Amino acid sequence: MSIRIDGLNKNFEDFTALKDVSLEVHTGKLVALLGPSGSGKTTLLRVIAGLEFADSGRVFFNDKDVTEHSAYERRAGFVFQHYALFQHLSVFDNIAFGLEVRPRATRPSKDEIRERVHCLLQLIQLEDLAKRFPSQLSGGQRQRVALARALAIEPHVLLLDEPFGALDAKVRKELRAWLRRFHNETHITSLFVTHDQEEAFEVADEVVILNHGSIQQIGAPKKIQTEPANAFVQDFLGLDFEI
Amino acid sequence: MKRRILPGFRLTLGYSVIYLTLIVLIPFVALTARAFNGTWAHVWGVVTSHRLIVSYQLSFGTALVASLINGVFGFITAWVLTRYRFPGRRVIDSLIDLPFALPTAVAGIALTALYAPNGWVGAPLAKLGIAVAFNRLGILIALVFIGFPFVVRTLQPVLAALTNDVEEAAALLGASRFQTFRRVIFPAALPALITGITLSFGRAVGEYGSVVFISGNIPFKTEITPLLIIAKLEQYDYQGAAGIGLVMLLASFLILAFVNAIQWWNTRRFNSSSL
Repeated sequence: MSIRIDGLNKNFEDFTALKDVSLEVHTGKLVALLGPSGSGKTTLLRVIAGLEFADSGRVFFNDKDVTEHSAYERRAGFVFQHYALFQHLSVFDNIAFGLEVRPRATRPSKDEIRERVHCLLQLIQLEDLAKRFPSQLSGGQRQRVALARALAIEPHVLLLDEPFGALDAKVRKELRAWLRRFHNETHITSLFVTHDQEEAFEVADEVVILNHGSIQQIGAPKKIQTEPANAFVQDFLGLDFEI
Repeated sequence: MKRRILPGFRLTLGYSVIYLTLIVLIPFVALTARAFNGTWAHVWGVVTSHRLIVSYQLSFGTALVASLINGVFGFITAWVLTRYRFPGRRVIDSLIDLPFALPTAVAGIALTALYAPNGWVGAPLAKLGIAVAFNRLGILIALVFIGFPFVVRTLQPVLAALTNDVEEAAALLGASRFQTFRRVIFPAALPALITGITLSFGRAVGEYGSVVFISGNIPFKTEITPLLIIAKLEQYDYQGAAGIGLVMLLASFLILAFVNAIQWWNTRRFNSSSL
């Protein structure tokens, strides 16, 4: 499913978070939103997810206008920087949550849920830890559980907010590579926020660079690195040649 | 012995043990010694007399109901105070502590004046045939009043610490507001809620000052156990008084032990750090 956003504006009191942002994420792409802190990248992701509403502008999923839809109606999988796992539920119950809360008419049977959760546990390679609680997992394991939980509802798109931000460098690298492989297998349209350019350029098909709430450049990693659009991009990426 | 990084372990532990012994343990021992210092038959006769049995039921029963009521309304109050910003919030927040600060006798007199058959609230209720003062209902109201802050104050920091993330995650996964509350927020706040209810209960069981005014102290009807301790003391029956005290002590201890067992089981279930 593709994501298209059109002329988004968002202000928090006297702070402009998004200024006339338009963007298209094509079906099956893995796109990174890259920018310094305060550039509006997380706000943009939250507006797309339906966790925040823009002052003006529209959001489309596959040409369907979802601007007024609630977060759940949009069916976006969302992964938080600090995992946001349910501490009192086991890994299994965390992943099953999105299926368990469905109204009876559309809720899968207990067996179906179990099967689905085990598939996801296999996918994140944590089959042995189904009975553990989040506090008993490492940071990398927690984030994988959060991802499986988001995937359980079969989301149309996957949105990740600094998914590796709270992890140490080694785990970050591993999980980054794992996300790329995962995306190659599932081809779910994904958008992830990061302030780490190495991460953005290594993982994403396309990189969107934001600053002060507006888009500075959109392009393939290589293209941005060889042809920065303006002085900000050049400076932010630390490129030391003249345009 | 393993070297410790934090200094002062022995000093602080030693101090705590000695302090607890002086302040808590020795009075308990004295109480027990006093109860057994005489004919056992006499003490047994006192603590199992019909008048006492009725008072145990009244004291522990109303304390239990009052603490459960406080659990419900304390939760709602703590919720409102931590989750929303509204004018007058700070004023309400400071009012919560009033039952802590007020001498209990003052609370008792105020409540009695209010709920007496000619009081502001008591008069209209009396017309409806509901007697509050000099009745068990009055005791319940006094116990609710004095126990309320315990629940609010134990819940507030826990509710404040719940992150928005978790609620947003639940909403994204399709949980309704009610499901989010029941499946996510409530279980996270439950241990603190149990603690608050327990504290409120403990306070209510031992409460004397605010209850004796409003209860009317009618034998076999509205006599709470602490009142009977005072009654025994006034009759110079120190053994009997100590015996009743011992019964209350044991009952409270058992209840606290039970609640702690629940808490221990509950936290162990999802908080052990063993990897």
